Amino acid sequence: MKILITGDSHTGALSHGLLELRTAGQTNSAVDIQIRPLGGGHILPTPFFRDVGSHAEIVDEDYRKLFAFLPPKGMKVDVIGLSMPLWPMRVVHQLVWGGLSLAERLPNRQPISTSVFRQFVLQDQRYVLKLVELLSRAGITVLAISGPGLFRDHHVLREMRAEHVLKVFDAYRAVISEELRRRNIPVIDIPAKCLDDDGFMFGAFRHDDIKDSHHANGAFGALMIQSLQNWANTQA
Amino acid sequence: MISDRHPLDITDWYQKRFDLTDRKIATAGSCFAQHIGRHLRSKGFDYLDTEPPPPKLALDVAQSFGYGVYSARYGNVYTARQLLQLFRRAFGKFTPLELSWEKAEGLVDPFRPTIEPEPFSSQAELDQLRSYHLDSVAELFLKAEVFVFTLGLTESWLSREDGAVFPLCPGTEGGHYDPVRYAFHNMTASDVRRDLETFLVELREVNPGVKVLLTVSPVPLMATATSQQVAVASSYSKSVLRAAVGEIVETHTDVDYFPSYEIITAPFMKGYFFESDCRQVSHHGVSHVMEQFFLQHRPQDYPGEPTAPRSEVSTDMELRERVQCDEELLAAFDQSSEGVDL
Repeated sequence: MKILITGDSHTGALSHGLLELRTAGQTNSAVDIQIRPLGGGHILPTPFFRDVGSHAEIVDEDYRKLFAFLPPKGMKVDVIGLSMPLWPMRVVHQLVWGGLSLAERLPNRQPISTSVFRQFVLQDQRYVLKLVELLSRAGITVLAISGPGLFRDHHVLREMRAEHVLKVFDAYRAVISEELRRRNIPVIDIPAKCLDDDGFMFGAFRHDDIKDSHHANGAFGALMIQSLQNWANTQA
Repeated sequence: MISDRHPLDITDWYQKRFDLTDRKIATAGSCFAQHIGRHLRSKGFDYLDTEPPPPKLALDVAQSFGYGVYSARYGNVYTARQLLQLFRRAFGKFTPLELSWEKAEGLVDPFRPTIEPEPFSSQAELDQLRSYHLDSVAELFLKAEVFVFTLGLTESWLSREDGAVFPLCPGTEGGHYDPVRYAFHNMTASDVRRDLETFLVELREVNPGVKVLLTVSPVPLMATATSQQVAVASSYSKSVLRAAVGEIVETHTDVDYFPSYEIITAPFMKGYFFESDCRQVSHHGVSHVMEQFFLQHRPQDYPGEPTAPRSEVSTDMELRERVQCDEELLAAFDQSSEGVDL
């Protein structure tokens, strides 16, 4: 089985993790995993591709440096894993810096309903969901690979209390998870062992760069790749 | 004499009582009031919106959630009683017993049941949103320098328990109709006048300098809860509203009346501005009404740009995160090392 993983910057941790597993001889030879990023996630809410029937032609200039088409015309793949749909931070930013709160009154913040919030999420992911539908229609098995959870030192927690940010973070993931379920898209989710009792990521999985408070490290990536391999084994 | 003039050449419909220039203007009312608010905004008047759309929510989506339609997110306010109770709820003078109506799997606010396309998920969510909304309404009444209200209906559904007036009949957009709990009431001219008088008194207690501009919606009733033929019921409703407003304007020098009702419905206009359903006012009609309005209230030089959003989401932090994302990718991948043609 040939699996291509692509998507946002969280593919970095997955790539480090895959390398760690390969070095340790812990990869499954029957599952060929390739990881190539598309680019920064801030482009995902824009029309970054054009539907040309059996392929998505990548039209965003930055993304196009890495892929001209998905599925790629020069590579046969059975599965495409997208590290795109399950990273809530763009919408978290919209709420935190936009002076909003999710369905609760907080000082100096305008509450929005869960329905309005859902619109924000769908607005954020509308092109990714279209891509998911296109790839599925093209006969590719699509799965979603989650980004990491929220680290306790993420800079947005300086603007809004942790439990409120986590509520937004989780609500985003819940909305998208439901959308993926409706499209029969499997999800490689954050392993339970990465999260503490409150639902935050353990610091052990934090990026090595002290200034980077939202990416995970290779240890997280390795766990995700192992989960992916386990999923692949069930598909044989 | 109007018989020797083309109806569209009539331009003396209205003489303003006060100026709108440099005054914060708020609007509320029945559906037709939406046009007034939209035109005031587009012409660059200082339009007050105390419950604005969340930044970066698409405009059409925001409007479907009741943002940017009026000066706060109350939806249509059809009657003077509804307006009075909205004011009292905002200032804590009236707390209705009815807290929510069930709809599908959720709950709606009985006092704005269609404000969102989907019901709220819980009573707590509804309460939090309503609390913010009512604070926004209070802010509106405190800040407005001109309050424009379009009266639309006399037919009302109210709670027998506490007299709370609902914009829609219970059971239509949530809740269940129960004749023991709810009653139909068709407001009389004295009801409307009393409600408006009381509203003006209470409004001036919190905002002594505010001017009020009243209009009556020219849109006739679509249906009636009375036993009368709908055209007869509509005539009653509009006559009552027009008479009550006339009396109010006669006795209050700081209340004005703009005749949108007459501009559309006067016999010599020959129904020209109604759509083919003989009910909805065409966009030509709305434009003509607003042209007459702006003949008296000249728009100021309009820069053509909407008010800046409260804050841009692209903050330094987000940009830094974006840069971090790029760095993360650069660090993780040697993008030139693989020869696959992608």
